[in-house]
Amino acid sequence: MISPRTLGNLRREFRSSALAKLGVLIVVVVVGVAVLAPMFAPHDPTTQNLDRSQLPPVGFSTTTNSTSTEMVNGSLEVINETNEINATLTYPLGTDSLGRGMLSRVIYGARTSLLVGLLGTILAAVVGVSVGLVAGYYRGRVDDTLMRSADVMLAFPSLVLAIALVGLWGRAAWRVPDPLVVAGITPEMPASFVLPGTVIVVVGLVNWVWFARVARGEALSVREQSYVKAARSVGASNSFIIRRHILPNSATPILVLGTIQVAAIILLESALSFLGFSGTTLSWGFDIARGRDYLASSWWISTVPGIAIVLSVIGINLLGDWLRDALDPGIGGEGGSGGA
Amino acid sequence: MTEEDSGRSRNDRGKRGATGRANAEGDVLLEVEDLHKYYFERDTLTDRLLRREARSVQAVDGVSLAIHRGETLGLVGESGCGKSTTGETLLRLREATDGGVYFEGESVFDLAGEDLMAFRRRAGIVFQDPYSSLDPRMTVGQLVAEPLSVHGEPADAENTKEARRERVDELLERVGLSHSQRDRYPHEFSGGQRQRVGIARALALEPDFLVLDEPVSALDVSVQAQILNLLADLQVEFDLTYLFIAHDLSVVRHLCDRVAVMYLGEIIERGPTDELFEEPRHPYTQALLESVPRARSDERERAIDPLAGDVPSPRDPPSGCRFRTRCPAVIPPDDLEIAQEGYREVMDLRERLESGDVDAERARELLAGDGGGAAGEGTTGSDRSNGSDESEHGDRRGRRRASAVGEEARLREDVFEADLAGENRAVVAEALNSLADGERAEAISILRERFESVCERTPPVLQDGPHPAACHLYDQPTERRGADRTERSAGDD
Amino acid sequence: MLEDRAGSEDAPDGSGADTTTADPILEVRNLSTQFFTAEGQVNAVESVSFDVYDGEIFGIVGESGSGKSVTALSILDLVESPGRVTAGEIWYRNPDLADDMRDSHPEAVEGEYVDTRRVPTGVRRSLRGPTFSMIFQDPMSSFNPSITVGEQLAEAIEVQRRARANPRSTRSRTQGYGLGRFLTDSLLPSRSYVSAESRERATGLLDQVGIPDSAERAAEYPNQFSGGMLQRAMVAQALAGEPDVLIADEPTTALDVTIQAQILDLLADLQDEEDMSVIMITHDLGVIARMCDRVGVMYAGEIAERGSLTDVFDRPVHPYTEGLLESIPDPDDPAPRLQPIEGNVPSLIDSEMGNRCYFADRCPKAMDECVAEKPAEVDTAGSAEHRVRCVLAEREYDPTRALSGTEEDREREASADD
Repeated sequence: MISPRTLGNLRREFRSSALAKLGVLIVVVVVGVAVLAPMFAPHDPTTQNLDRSQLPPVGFSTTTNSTSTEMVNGSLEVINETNEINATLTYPLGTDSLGRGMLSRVIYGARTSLLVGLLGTILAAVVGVSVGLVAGYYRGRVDDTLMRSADVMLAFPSLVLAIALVGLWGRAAWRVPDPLVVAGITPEMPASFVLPGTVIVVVGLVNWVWFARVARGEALSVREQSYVKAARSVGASNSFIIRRHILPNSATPILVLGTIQVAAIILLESALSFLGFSGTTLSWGFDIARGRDYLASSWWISTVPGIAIVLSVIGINLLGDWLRDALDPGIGGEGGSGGA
Repeated sequence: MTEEDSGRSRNDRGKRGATGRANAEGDVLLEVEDLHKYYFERDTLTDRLLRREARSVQAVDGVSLAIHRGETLGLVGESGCGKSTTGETLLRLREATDGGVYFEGESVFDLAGEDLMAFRRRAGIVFQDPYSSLDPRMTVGQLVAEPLSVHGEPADAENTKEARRERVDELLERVGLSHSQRDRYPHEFSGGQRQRVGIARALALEPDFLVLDEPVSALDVSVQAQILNLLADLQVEFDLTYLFIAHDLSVVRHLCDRVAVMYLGEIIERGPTDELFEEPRHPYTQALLESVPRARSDERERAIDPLAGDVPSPRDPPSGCRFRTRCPAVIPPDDLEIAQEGYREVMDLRERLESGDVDAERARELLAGDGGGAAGEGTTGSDRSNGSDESEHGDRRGRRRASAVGEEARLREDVFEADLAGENRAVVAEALNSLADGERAEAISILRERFESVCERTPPVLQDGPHPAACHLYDQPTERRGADRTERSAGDD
Repeated sequence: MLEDRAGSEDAPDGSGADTTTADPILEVRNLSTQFFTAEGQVNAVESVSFDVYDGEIFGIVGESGSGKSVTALSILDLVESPGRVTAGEIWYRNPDLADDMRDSHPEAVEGEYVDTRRVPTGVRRSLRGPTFSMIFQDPMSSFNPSITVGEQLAEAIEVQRRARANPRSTRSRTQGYGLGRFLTDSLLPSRSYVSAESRERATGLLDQVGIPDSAERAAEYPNQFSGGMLQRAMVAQALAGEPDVLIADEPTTALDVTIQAQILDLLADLQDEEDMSVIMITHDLGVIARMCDRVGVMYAGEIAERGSLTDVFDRPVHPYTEGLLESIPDPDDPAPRLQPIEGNVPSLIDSEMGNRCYFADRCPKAMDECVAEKPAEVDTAGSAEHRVRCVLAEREYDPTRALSGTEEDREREASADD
């Protein structure tokens, strides 16, 4: 399905665009880290160690003030004791309030975010593309019915809708086995790592509308191409035409939308876990929420996962831009050589 | 509309010997009967909710054709005349609104299941645009093999894949491509080569009948000739019957045995190619032929009189003859004394008035009310003596008007290019005067009363015979039947 | 008068041998335009030379990809990246402009002529409109669908009017129209860039191009116009600056044949009335025959043959011209078989073109010398303006020297390596 020309365009666009390289680099790093989380993470992300709580990241130091009252010479005196806490290399990104290593938490959080993003996007794409292609290909009443219901979905803010659905079903309604473990790509994960199935289903159901709209638009234009008429003229069935012609020729914008949706769903998942509606505690958003209380003293507890979110979202969006530029026939060049 | 019984249409057989096919005497392969295809605009849910009435576009409005085995029938017309819609509707690529199509006597619109697949196998289509007619994500081999895989062919072969590839290679070679190009993508080919691929695909199922929908109009002239020759060769080799749809008359002359000319959804003339080109009967056919610029150094000396105006919208086609709004030979009423040029201009003015392009303000402009350019009517009026020719009836009306309108209703001199004088001019002035006073309906009826043509009253009928033209200049059925049809079409609207 | 320039050319120039007494209004010399694409350098226009005289219609005919439209864009300096005019001179006769430029840019001035390629960009731009204007193929996409036709036309006129008030300004003529003006205009509809007289002239122009009830039509939007009417409106727009040279790029290709006849009539009438020169670019030899005094036939970026209409149509020398004329179906001639030119239009990628005649692969009269060296543009035995880029101008076709291999072999070869 991927022609040599497409590959050539991808390569050319990649070579000429620094942003594309950056995007690919970020995504490769994030994906690699997430896939090999148990190997990279120096500590178990859930083991608490109160002796080592709130250690700063390497290169920073922090002070804790402890105030105590003591009887000195018969009078009550307030003693302000300032302790300097220095970073240790054991916890390069510091620890949180319960002494869990931030680095390990961010690494496992990446796995959660990416898996939720990918699985949620796949679910949204399967639902949305099917609905959109059918609506766009058949038009008429089918289109009216399907797309008006999509419009109704769009009328709700996605976060509100997601919260409502999670509330309706319960946070731990479904347990989804980690697909990477099932496929044998990575070793068994620690028991503390839970893939929030409910959230995956919810973000998928909230976001399918975007895929439906894009797929419908593509189907509407592709169905008017003569090659669709040609297929019908030899008696091809509608499902044959949708599979063979409409879907492949709508694939590019759907693929680009898919990458951007992964980023959007990562954000949505973070927002959900920030608000406490996620089925897992190993999540960037959850850590940001926890770190909120310690912003004044231990800023890194919120900041480290925050940076992780920003970086991966930027990286995925850059990747999406690269795909769009390389696959867009308007830029990639449909054979056109200066002629009349 | 025109009921064409096959007995009569036997006489239509192309007499052109150029292609040398004589076997098909009277053997009708495909017959189209009174085909209608309307599109409906404003037909979405929102429109229904808003109770907006659906508006119909009459793309094809009563087309009848008979295509004989082994011949090439040309279907010619300008863009938007419904020729491509006709081609696609008769293959059931679009749902017809009304009418019937019969392939070897069987109603195509009633086919289903196996029978429909059998029809699909025997009737194919080649499209105009060699770019959009090939799926850019499939190789040429896959494209040509697609009809085979849809039909599960070849069914009896041991190794279907191998047999299919052989068949594809054979087809590619036949249309002048090499089998080594099988695995290439369409964008690697030029327009002419792509069109060859499209032809190979259409031939894959060994059809009997092909609709060629402007197969060469997107190609360069030098390549166009290659494809036309290829099509002619294939027709002989595979015993094909073509419906050749084109806007380019010169191409049609080279390939077709018979030609039908369409205008605004209707066939207005039909006949054997040479006869139609040498003696076109319908004024539209004449104008169409005349308008094609010839590639000869003496072309500038050839006087042509281009048709004025634009093709009217098929949303609201003109009453009567649809060509009457542009026709250079529109027929004045019997009792009206008027030169053709002047009559044409009056009719144009009526058209603009009825469509609202000329409003009260514009009417005041056209009337020289302030006396500055008012000399118009007086001088032109005296140039031409009007009294003697006028019927008594006209005289009476003239007197009545003179008293009613008086001095004011004079036309500016440059309203008409042609000479228009006397009573005719006065009537136009009177009508514009009414319009200037805001009496629109009155203005329209004043003009209609004097100038109404048979062409706007009665739709001309395409009759049977070897070379009929739907025009009032030629024999038409009696007025009574025409009146029926007026009512019917009024009811249709 | 142009000895220096003529002398500097490779090929002897025809200026001394001109049968036409008048000097050309436009002399294009060795114009080359290349596109620098990912696939390589594309020579869209290669060393094209021709003259356009006062009040004549010069036709450029060619198939798609022959470079005819790029030639037009190059003259107007409208070639966009990745394309660039890489060489050549475009001499435009205008004594006033020559006087203006003589001191500041002596190298760009030659007698009454100015080389528009060597004057500053601003001056070049100021020539668009009052000197050169263009009609495009697709009228629908040439108008802004959200502004009435009259308003757009009036705008064009206004731009020209202001330009005349401040002739050959090197600053942009619309420069006064900044964001602030745009905002006030949008908020206060009474303030407008366009003056009342420009509006009036717009209506007048619409009238001139044969649009009935022009005042009413001017207030309509482009989608209310038919294709033919819109093409008329575009002609009106091109006339707004009263140009010396009107370049019509496939002006009737998108139109039906009866409407085409109207537009061609209109162009011929206007050319007569306004006494301008027209460069008519088309793929349709019929249109050329109907409209043009002289014609250049383009193939693969070069002018293969040029001369008067009778030179090219009745005494063609180049086998491409011959083939083109023979492959056109004629509505007056029932001959059932056409004589196509075999093969396909070559790619114009520089690395694949080589030092040879570009038509040799398809040429029925190709000889060995055709692929040995690229033929130069030479005079023919016929009229003085008749020039051809073909070896047959100087010798007869000799079958014994025919290019080795049959035509089919060569075609197969050509299609195999494309």
